[in-house]
Amino acid sequence: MKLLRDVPIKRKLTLIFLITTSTALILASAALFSYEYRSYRNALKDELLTLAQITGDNSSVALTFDNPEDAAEILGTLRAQPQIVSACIYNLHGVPLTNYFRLGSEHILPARPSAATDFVLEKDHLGYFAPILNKKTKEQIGTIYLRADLHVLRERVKLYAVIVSLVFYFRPDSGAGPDRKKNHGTKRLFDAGGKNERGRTGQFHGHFQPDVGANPNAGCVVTPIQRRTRTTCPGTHQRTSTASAAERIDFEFRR
Amino acid sequence: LCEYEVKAAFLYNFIKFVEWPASAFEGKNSPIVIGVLGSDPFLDTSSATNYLEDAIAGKTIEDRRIVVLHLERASDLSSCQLLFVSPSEKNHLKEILQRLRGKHVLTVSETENFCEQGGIINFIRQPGKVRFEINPLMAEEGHLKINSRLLNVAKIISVQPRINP
Repeated sequence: MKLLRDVPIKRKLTLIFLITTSTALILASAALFSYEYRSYRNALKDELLTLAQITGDNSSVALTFDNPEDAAEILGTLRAQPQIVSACIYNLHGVPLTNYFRLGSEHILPARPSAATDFVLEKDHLGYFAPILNKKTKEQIGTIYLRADLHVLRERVKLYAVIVSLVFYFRPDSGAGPDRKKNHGTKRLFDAGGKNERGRTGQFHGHFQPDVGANPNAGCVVTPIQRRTRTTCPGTHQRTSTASAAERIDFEFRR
Repeated sequence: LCEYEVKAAFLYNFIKFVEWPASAFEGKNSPIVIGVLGSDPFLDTSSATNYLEDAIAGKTIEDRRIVVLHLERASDLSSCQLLFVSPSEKNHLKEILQRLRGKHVLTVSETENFCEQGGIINFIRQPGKVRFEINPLMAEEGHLKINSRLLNVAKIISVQPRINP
């Protein structure tokens, strides 16, 4: 905290606002990312479930009569689902009857189906095993496996990251964005006097008064300093050096 | 698996993909009857096993048991839901199919031109595979609903034989 002792209160307040809004923004973004990731994954799960059900039902005859050509034709309809990168139909003995790979995708499939209905989350993919049942007898005749790409989710998260970064960059209290030039201009004005904000504060506490005494125009080179000086010391600059803490706070607030 | 083991499994599977009208059964829980007409090709005399009976053993479809009956030409053929006409009945095929026209019986055989003569499903031989042809017109005549996917995997023979006087 010693580090902030010499920082003007306005600066401190700005810093507090900055930390508060930044924290809020980071927390909100984290919550948004988490919600978005979960909801997309759940939507994808539902989609996989439906697709597996429909495709499995359609391929039940092909599977029952061991007809890989018909099964391949059915799996080929998955072309209309760009998120599905690969699929496979296994017979009851776990032997693949036919498979499907999206153009340009890796030819990766589990050698044997999972014993249970299950979602398998990989690094960039979500896999799903579902049993294929005969509608009349309700007995399992095979297993279908669908593998979906999580690329869309990654892209969406990236987009959110960009949006949040932009919001973070252009937030009103950051001094960035459209007001940035103006602030830089102000800073340049102060720098024209050869001193920065911290330097001025130092002057106020220790070296300002003797300097003014030596050269009455020294503080008037830069307009804001002049204005502040007038406000603070309507009569003489002598009072400035002996200003109480309350006066100093009042001064900083007005500034 | 031997040829008749596969064919027996196919007969059981046909039942899964064909719908019979309610009037095809005596009661709500009446069994599904598979009739075998002529000499039984599913019987393996060397091992004394019947592949068809093995294939349906303990199986039920929509709460109906499945039973196998060995029939003779003089029997009431319309009492079964699926009738397998053995190749031994090749010479009497026309007469048998004539008797079953419009009845709710799914006729199956492995005889040449079976579908052309009014049969519904006929096994055909392909190298290393057992395939079948279906005459959907005859199935329709018997008010049997065949799953469209089953038609997809079969060779379709759409022929309606003329009714002999």
